[in-house]
Amino acid sequence: MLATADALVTSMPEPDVRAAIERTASPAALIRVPQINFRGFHPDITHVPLAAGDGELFGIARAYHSRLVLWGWRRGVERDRILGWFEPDTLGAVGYGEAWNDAVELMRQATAESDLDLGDWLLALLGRGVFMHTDNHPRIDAIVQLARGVARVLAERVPAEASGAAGAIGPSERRSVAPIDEPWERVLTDGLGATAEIWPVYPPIAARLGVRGSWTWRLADGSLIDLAQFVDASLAGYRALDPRDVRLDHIDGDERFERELA
Amino acid sequence: MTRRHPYEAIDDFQRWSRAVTWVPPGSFDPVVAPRFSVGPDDKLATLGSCFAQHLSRHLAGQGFNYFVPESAPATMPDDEAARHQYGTFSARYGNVYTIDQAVQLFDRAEGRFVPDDEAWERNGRFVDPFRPLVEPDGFESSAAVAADRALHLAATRRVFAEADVIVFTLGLTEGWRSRIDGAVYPTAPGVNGGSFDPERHEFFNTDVDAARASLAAFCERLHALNPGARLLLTVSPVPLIATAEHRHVAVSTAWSKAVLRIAAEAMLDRFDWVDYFPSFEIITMSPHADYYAPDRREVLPLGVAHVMRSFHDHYVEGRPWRAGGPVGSPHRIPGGAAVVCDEETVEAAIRATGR
Repeated sequence: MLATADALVTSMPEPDVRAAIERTASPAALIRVPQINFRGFHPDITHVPLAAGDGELFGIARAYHSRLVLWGWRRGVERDRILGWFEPDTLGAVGYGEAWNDAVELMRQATAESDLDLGDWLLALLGRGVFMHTDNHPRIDAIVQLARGVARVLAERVPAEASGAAGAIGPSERRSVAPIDEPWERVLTDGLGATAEIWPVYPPIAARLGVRGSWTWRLADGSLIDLAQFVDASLAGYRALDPRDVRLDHIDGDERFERELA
Repeated sequence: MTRRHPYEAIDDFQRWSRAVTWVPPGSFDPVVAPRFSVGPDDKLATLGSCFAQHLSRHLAGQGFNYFVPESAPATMPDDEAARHQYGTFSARYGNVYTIDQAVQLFDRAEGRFVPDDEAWERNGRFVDPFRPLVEPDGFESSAAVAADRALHLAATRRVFAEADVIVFTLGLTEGWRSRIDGAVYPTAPGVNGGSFDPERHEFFNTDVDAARASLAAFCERLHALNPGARLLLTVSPVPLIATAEHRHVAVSTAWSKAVLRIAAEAMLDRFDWVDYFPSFEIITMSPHADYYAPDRREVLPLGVAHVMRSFHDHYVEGRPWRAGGPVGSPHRIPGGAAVVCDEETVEAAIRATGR
């Protein structure tokens, strides 16, 4: 398929993709898009690699875990004390208040290595409230906005005589007819929003970001749980686990957690 | 070689891209160089439009020394105290929307001005024309209005004479006043008592020259009585509920807010003990946030929280901001009650006429 493609739009590592293009002698224009990882709304989310293999630990919210709950579990902290950490002072002390700038910087790096522009993506979304369901699941409008950037780059780079879906018309004509700016987010189903986890923006963090927050988790099966239920279910899962089976260096090594929670 | 130009050394806050476009949501912060701060022992007073009440609640909720010399009687239940606007502002003056109203309030508290209007009739009871909603059921007689007004003005004088910091939120330029003696009402006669008489009452809309002069007069009076007082001026981001000018209400709102903003800025040039706090700018220009309720007039709690956070970060000595305001207040503040907005009775009055 690659051998006859007009363009390859991918977020895979560039060396791998270049190698594939050369191997297949593909004429495809390479359009690099960034992976969307944005923790600005959800700085408490983390992922836990398994010690053996490439897998990751699944909990009550599948691959998404709370750093606070994990840290408490590792240190044997009782459930009520963990629950007490979900308040403004503690969330600020462990650095969650700075998560937004860190998230923007990471996306800036990711887009710098891509063919898209951070401002085209991020600034268009900022007025739309919480555009991420989790740290790596964008809402449909965030995906559509990324697709708009891809479409603009395609219009510039794919040759006029290319035989793709746009047909044999010139780039400038394609730009004028391509309905890039139509509100696609209104007619497309938000698949991730409908079927996967939705992590809440904790109210103290939400207040700082000028958005509405909540303590309600939406799980993949559609059920809704509150903070206490989330903590209880998370801890119940972790108790059955041998800590040696998971890698938690990224949490164990966080000095702010040690200083504020120990 | 790079060409020199006058913008090469400007600060980040002077550049839209740095100060607005790319700031994180909720972090827009247009305060640059506050002229003073508020300490834990400073007596802090408020007056102004409905938006000023958010500040009152915040100050009380955060444990400030919120100065309320006109307190509710000890036997009055909390909900009754709130209904009678005790603690809504530092004294029961109700909404002070216009600058002229503030100047006259000062003069009345000082005994320099005694308006011809003493009491308005409302539903068989009597109300004070200059604060018609502080006694929701009205007084039983005009004598009772006068008696309560004497207590109120004595407390108001204490606000002006004893407060260390006064926060005055400028709300409107449009208003109604007496043709007899120029007394300015918070709402038009007939809306919350009395009745409108074109022979006795007239509309006014303060222009920029008059607003500057009137606000300067207020500042000079305050400083003469209380030389140590600091004045923090803000402009309410709440639009007009109706305009008496024959033009679109949005156009009147822009005109009114611009006049108030210019008047406030002019005071900074004249008085080094006056500062301007940009709550208007935070609500209307915060990037990536919409702080207005569906009616496009009321300000949402998220917006109020943003304003308060900025106020706290820049003007409060040694006490970190906390969401939710967990610290109690010695004063009974109508925290759960709706914001008291005399102006909203204008809409009710219009609807009562069948429109």
